[in-house]
Amino acid sequence: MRLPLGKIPETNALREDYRFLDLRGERIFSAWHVPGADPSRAVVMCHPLGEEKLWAHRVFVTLARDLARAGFVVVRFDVRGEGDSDRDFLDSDFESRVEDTGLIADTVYRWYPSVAEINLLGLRFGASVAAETAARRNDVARLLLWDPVIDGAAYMQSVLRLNLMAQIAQHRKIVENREALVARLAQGGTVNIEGYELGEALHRQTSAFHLRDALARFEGDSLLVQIDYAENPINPELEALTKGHPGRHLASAREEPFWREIRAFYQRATDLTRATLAALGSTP
Amino acid sequence: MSSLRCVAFPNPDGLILHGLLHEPEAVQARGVCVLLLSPGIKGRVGPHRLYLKLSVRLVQLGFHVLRFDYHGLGDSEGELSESMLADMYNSIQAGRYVGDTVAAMDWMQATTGVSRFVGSGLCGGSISALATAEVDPRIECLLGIGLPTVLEGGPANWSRVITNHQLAAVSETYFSKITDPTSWLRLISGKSSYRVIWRVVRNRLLGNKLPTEAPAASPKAEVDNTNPRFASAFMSMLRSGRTLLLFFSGADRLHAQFAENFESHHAERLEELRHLYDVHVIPNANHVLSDPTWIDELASVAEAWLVGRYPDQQVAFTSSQD
Repeated sequence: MRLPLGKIPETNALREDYRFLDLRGERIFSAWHVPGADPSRAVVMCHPLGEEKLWAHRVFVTLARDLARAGFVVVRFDVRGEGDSDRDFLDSDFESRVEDTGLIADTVYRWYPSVAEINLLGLRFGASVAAETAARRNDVARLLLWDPVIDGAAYMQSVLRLNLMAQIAQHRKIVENREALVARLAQGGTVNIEGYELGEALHRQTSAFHLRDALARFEGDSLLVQIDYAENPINPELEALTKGHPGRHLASAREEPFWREIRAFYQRATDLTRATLAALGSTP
Repeated sequence: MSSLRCVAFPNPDGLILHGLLHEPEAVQARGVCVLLLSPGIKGRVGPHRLYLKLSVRLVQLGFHVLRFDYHGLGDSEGELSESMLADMYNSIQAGRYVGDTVAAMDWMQATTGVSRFVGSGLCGGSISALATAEVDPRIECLLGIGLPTVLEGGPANWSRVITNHQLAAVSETYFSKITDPTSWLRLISGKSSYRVIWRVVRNRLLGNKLPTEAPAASPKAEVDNTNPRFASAFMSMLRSGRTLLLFFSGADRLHAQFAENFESHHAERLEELRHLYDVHVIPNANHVLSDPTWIDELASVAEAWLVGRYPDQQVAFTSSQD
């Protein structure tokens, strides 16, 4: 089912709080965008992996502000091992990301008793984390998945490809192929991905993830958004995930891949924001 | 025990800038703050959290470390007008974030009492530190990482940030070539910088006087892509006796550009000031220092330099959280 595009509402001024949350002695950095009135709905935003998080950061910030202006409590946060949160990337994994997201959702309910509905929004790998978190809880109303990773194993292959590209840049050839990298991980070694040390646990746990399975365990509504700069047909895999499931919706948004280095300076994803607001039923 | 806390302060336009302050244990504090200035898009954490990795080490040595997002980037307020990344980077090179950096120092001084600063950062962060040092002596030294000398995106960008001194020199060059057929051929074939020519002609038509004194950075007759503000800022630091430690990555073009576009053009004037800056090239390293061994080398050399520069711990500085 395709959703109509919504409009960005212009409402109240918002408040922003930046603070660390404590999880068994580890700090989790969080940014809270809070609307003026008692909010009844919230959006928790799950960032993508590694450098994609940094490239996409500003789009997350502008969306968070738009959503807060539309009346939502919005939380952006850095999972442990990324951004300003504690823990080395190497010591973080898929499970720790799901736990961190759960902590944020719990904190929303604790700090804002007026909130009756939490929506999880994720970009790429963040969509995987959001979907898995939602599948394990019974208090998430809706998933908003932007260009979601569908097959974790295939995604991990693409992550390892970044190491191969770095090898070519440095040595002008591939010194260690993908199989060798996977073997190194299995033996407890690490693989450098654009400066992040990937470990076995994150690789293994992510490889076992499939969006189909997570969605099957989730009872709320979900919006899956294909992001494409050109007018391309919908990815059949995304279509298969939504077809025959009344609560699952599919949308496409015309945006550039702002989660990696492109020529454009991307501050705002207007089409994505409209699609997201429409799915949240937030129209003026 | 050192602490880490979220901070926010206004820039000169009233936009709120968000950042993080690492404070050393009070008894270890040296009373010096390292400003790890944002490279640009990748914000106060830097690529692969480089700034966080460096901050953890520096705060253990007794340095305060302040990392924040410039306006229009990261978590901070504001929107930027550029739609292309290269234009945004060039605006940083032109000194867009000097005001934000001065505001950060004002806030640090007012809040913690620390008024001595080391300007630092990767790429756009180091050029912001250099540009700020030109106007604010509280930056006592510069620890540059991948300091860019040239603008992004080709010679066209040079014309956007050309100084009046340079415009004056270029103006004379243009008028001396007015009867030269080769110059007209360049003009017709689109190889000339129309923006610069337009500024020259406009100044002549309007009767605007351009400065005639020697510019801080002698421009070449031919327009190149060197950041026209670079030389004056660099020379300003040296002339005031402030020291610089510059790190370059071996696999990066920035070291060669620094040598060719700056050092070779100013060799004579640099001769007597050369002892004030050191250059350390990390072999094979890429621009963002993605390998842990490269970061270790950077941090070890930088730490030794900083501790040598600031040997005394000043117990008078207490944590602003106390």
